[in-house]
Amino acid sequence: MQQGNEPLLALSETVVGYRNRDGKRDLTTPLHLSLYRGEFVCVIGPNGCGKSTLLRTALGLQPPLSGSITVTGKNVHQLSPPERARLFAAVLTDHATSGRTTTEELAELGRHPYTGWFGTLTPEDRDVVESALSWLELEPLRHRTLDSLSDGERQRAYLARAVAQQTPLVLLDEPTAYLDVTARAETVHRLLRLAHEGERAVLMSTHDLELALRTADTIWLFTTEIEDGRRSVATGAPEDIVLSGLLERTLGGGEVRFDRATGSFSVVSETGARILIEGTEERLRWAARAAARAGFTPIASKNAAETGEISAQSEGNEALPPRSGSISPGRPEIKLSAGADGNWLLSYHNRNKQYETLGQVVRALRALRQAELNPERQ
Amino acid sequence: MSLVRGIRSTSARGKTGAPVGVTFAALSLLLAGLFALSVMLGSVRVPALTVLRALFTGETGDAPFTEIVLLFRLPRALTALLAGAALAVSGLQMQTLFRNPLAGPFILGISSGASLAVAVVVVLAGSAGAAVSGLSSMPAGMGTTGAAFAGAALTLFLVLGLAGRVESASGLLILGLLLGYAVSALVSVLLHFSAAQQTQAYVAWTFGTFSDVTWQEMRLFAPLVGAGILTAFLLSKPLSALAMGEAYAQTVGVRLRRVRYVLIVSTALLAGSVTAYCGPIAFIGVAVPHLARGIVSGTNQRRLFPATLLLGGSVALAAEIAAALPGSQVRLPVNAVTALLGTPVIAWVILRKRTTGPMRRM
Repeated sequence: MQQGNEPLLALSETVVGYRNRDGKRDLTTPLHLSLYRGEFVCVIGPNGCGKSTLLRTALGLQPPLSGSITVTGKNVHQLSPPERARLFAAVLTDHATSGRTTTEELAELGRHPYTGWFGTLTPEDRDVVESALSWLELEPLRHRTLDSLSDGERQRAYLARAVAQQTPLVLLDEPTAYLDVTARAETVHRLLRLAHEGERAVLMSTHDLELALRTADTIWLFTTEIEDGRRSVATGAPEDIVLSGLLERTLGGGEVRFDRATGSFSVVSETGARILIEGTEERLRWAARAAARAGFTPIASKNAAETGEISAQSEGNEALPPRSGSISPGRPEIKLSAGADGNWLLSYHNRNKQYETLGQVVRALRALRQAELNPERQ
Repeated sequence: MSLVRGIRSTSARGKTGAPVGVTFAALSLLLAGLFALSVMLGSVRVPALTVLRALFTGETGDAPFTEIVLLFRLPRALTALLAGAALAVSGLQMQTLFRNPLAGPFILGISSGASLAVAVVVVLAGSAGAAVSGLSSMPAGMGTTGAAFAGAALTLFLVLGLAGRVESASGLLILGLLLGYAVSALVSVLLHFSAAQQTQAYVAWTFGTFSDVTWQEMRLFAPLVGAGILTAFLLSKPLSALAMGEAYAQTVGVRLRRVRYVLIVSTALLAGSVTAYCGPIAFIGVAVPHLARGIVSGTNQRRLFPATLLLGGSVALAAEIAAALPGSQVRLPVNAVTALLGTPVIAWVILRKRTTGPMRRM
């Protein structure tokens, strides 16, 4: 939608990393990235891959190791701090702000790049601060000090400051960390509106992959390490990134597997004995998750597949991609059925047991698995 | 629009709910009252009317009173006011820059440098004997003042050099602290090898006093303090932003390095000149900013700065009045009085507003 315009932020041949006493440490290959007005971009990648360093470099807080970063054609690192502050607003992870600062004072600091020598706010500045506070529903909290706010409220106060700064670019480093699900969704929703309605370019790093895949216009994905810890950054719409298989390669590994069907990560067990699940709709879906949590590989029953509940999985098709040598062929010996009375029926070796809750089922399955792994203990 | 204006007026309130103007009027009155009291009280009580006459006409009609007021009490009160304001303001600057509630004007080793130089002068003056007897005969006079200035200036240049090399504020803070320890060690060594008389002269200097500044010296002291306070005042905008921490401050356009340099110079000017003329006055610089935070809310320097300035002057004047023990000939060391009287007050302020949250109230 915006690709036709000139990019607001452009990285060309930019190597991100840091310098220390031993010299340079590159975190990336030379990057070519563009951020457009009206675009909401999520930066994702494993811990320590350089997301924060990339943001700090773009903000001009540290220089790139090579290459350049330009905003509307001007080199970020040749601009003065006040000039940069009129282009970028930031929400960082180090909330070192004095706890005594009030919400209103924090929002007022967003006007810092525009005020005169003593920082006196003009009526126009005041109006900008007021509308930022009201947009984030912070009016009732304006006189509260930051240390009296909840994590979510404090994050909103920082966001109000960034909004009051009225910059074309807003960069946020993990703004949804420490927030509950509702606050996370609200934050991202606000950022989306800021980008789409406020015509700003919003760049946010996050570990909340599911939310990023659901909301971002574009994903910047730090891919697997190439050599010496350097990574390249792949970009694309979230759906294209998922289908390219890059996500599983980058973020999966070990016990964790990305499930393309559901767009989420799950823990898979090495043995993964298969279990047939019978049921419909959400009862089937959650029974499958319970079984997976107990260390089994759930397989949807035929009639469930026909209802389309677990898509494209008929009997005999593994719910998860096969892992070498871990699955015995043939029909699974264990079956979990959702009873019409709301109970769960677990049958194996022609024995049947009835459970009231999936919690009990998981405990029973774990005991079963334990018995199979250590038969001599019995 | 009227709604916005209504909100605006409520936002301009101090912590107590009183409008900011009222708070500052009260603080100014307090300062003026303490100033007058300080001139009136002492070993001899001078009547208020006489003081007023002396202040406005330079004459009291009573020669001894005129002399007491104009030659002793007035410069003493002025010194206390200036020194208190200077220390409090530089304490506020350092606490804001380092975001550390324990920081104060001497955190960068400014007074340690001055102390070392004074110790050197006191000891040398003693051992060199008659050749520099001019120095030893006036231990609290020009010799120590000049030495303290030189010591503070040398420390300043050392700290500025370090500030260019150290990226983090906490690194600078620790280096300043270490510098202070090293200098104290040198002073101990010096005193260890000096005569009892010189040791005592040095110790007397460390007690601090507001009584030794003459009108002659005031001509240098007052402009120096004034310049330091003006510099600090001009930095109130970036200092307000520094309440967010250095990284955030940079993202709203603060030129961090430049602000840090100017802050250090201004603090050295304030702390250095006070140390030179009054000795190392402890406590006020660390405590008064906390007192100010108990009175005005938030971290905006536009409110915090004037409150700290006025309170600093008031606290120093109150300490000076108490140290003179009105009606007696005894005089207590200023440093002892500030700490003894100030500690309960500060403790009360802190305990009163203590919240159960994490200790991030700086």
